[in-house]
Amino acid sequence: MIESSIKNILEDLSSLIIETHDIKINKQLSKILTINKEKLIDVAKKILKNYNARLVHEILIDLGIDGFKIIQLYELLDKEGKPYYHIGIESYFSREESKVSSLAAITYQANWAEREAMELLGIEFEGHPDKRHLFLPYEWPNEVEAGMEEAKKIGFNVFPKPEPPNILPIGPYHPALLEGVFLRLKVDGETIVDADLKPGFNHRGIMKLGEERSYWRNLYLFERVCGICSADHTNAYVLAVENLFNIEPPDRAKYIRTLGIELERIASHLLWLGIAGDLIGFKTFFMWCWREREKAIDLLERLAGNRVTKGIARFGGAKRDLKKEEIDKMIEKLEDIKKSVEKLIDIAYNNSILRKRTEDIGILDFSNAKELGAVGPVARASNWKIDVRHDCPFDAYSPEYTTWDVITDNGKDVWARVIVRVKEILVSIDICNQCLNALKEIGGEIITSEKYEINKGEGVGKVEAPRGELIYYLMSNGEPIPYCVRIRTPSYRNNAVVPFILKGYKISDAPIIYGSVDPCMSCTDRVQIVNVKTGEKKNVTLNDLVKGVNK
Amino acid sequence: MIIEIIFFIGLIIFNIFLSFIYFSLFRKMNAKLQGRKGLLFIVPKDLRKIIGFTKIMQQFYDVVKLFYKETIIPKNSHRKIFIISPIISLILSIIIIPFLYFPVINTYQQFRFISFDLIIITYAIILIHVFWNIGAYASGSPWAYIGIERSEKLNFFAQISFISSIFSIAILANSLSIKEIVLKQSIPYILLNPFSAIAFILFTLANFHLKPFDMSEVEVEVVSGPFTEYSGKLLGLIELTKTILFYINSIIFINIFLKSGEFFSSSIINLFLLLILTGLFIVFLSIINNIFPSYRIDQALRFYPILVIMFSILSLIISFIYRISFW
Repeated sequence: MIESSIKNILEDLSSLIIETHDIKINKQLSKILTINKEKLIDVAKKILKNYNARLVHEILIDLGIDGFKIIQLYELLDKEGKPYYHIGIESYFSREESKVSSLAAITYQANWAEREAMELLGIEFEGHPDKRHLFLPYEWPNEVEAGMEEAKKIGFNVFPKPEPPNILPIGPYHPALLEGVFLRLKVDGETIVDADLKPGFNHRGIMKLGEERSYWRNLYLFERVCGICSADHTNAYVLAVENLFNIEPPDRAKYIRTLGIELERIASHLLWLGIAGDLIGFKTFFMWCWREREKAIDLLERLAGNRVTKGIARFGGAKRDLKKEEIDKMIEKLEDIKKSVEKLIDIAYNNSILRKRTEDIGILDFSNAKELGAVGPVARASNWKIDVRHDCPFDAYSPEYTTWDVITDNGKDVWARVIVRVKEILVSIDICNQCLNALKEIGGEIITSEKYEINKGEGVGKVEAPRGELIYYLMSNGEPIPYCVRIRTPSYRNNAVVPFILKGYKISDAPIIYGSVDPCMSCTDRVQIVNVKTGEKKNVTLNDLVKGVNK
Repeated sequence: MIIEIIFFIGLIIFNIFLSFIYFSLFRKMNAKLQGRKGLLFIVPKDLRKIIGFTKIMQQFYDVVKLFYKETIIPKNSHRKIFIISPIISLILSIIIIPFLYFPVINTYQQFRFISFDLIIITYAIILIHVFWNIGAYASGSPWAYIGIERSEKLNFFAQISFISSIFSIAILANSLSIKEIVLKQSIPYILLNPFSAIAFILFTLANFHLKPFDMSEVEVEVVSGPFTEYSGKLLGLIELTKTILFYINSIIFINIFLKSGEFFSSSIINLFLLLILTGLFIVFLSIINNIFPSYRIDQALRFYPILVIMFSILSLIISFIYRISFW
């Protein structure tokens, strides 16, 4: 199927393709097609409609005096919506002609990526339906550049002005969200009529920092993108580097990495389950879930040596090995966690109020999940069988290493998202047990001794984080510092879906509906540092920042 | 006269102290049920002395802390009403204290000239909430508006529940005086009229925003609901009123349904029994508060009024039947 699809696409687009080259995404060798930027929109329409594809990410790269490069990374889906192959469309354009046709006009999946590129790189996307800033403040640097005039036409006016009493601001700081995000609800009585989301309150410029540090130092940077899924971030980055420089880790390291990721998924889902309880006022459930989560964190500490920055992956392997005695203790502890989780599932299933508060709200059906670009448990709760571990295996997720099933549910509502996550905890425990048993039996090194060279090229690392598909794109120009780093986190996609799933429900439902996508603002927020006072736009390097601090 | 004034002030201070103890018990029970462990369990022994026994008087520290903090009054609020409402609420809660019945400390002696103290207590409890909501409305916060709306929807039925419960007991005892109600209970009224006790508990859950009826104050939805804009000293006053009112409510339940613990000939033992029974009632409220999530207001309004009306009518009918049959 893969070969025939590629052949069809190449034949279909033969008149438009300037050149093709390969890129490695996890274990899969994928094609990148270079075309003229004027034809981008036609190609996108063809791929999205004729080949039932989804847009994974739209990556914009600043090439300095050479202009800009745009990569639209698609994933082809079969009839049931299961992804099976990646294909990238690439195009170049100069700084003088920094205008491109907007893909957001035909698919919502490009919306946030294009808004981000508009505000941070100054590229204009013609025909984009919503040109407002996404991460920068509304008023920055002036009304025209912030897209205020155009934004007024799209119906929902979200700018700080004297408001009518029916606008409810949830955030930037609110007990329901705890992270900086501005969720505005337009309400009629208790019913939500419209919603708008504004991230960007947690500026860290982490992708820019990544372009200032060596590949090795970045390991420690990217595990700090998110405190909940730090092992996944390191793993995705390491996979991107391994794909870029053709490094193959030994089997033992693959099992250790997988173990780290799965333990992190258990901890993350238990954390979410607790928060979901809290969001419907069930503090006891919240406390119990977090108590059980501690056990998973203890295991992660045993594995990685840390409780927060748990990155265990290293280029070509893993940083720590496990002794046999430790493995036995971990298996025991996992059994303990399994029993506790089963009790929690029992409570959740049998608590009528919990079910009443989560059933039939925040509905996201299969077609909407696909069109809006949902990923991870949110997509799987809409009966979309999409999981990077299964569709594009990495580490020890291939059938020759571990066997397991992708959990889906056709409930489409918040309760379905609860079900998917609690079942995934049990699957993760099973995968962990398989990894630990394999580690007991196989020996060998945990890191490859083969040397690698820093080449020019591109690499993509893709993992299934607890919240969904996490992607790291790296571009190397042969120097020991990556030329370009692009991170597309699962929350980047799922947060964009939130305004759509809030409409029509009650104010009381808003926290749990928003919570049901497991929003993480720390891995969504990013910004370029600019001098607002003078209006001067320049990229501030790490050294400049250090000098500034020293002064 | 001076001795009476000193006695009164002492009585009020003692009851406020008790209210803090009981609220701490409520919080402690919540923590136990949720499996939370405080600092005293995890810090080294040497440090425990420095931290002190905060676990007993945490509620007291929390209120005192608020009196040290800055009070912010919103720009678009009605300043006078915003400030005066919590003060009136606190005064009303303190006014009720001398009317409560205690074995040994028979405070009712000072109010012998009033034979309808149950009416005063009922009005005061209802008015406290009215003034809270007036103050909240004056704050101009959209969260407060939503909180008031939800609170009023639920309180309408909660007050029916409270009034019918109180008056069905008054009918049973043929008196509007708490002291007489206590003394006339040969059998605790909770056994004679359990529906009235259920109606009282239904009122308590909604009135104190306990789960599953805490939708008007649930943090993750409406921040602090009616009290969102209150801070510093004014919030301190509200917290103080809440603490006292929670205690008053529990003591009233024991007074009118459990004979105020007067089961023995010794007044001292009876007093201890009263304190223990009040504690047990608070533990019961804490258990209910911890085993449920909160309902949405529309979900609560689907069955809460039905329960309230059903138990209110049943309690009144039973009281009338007893009254006609036995007296």
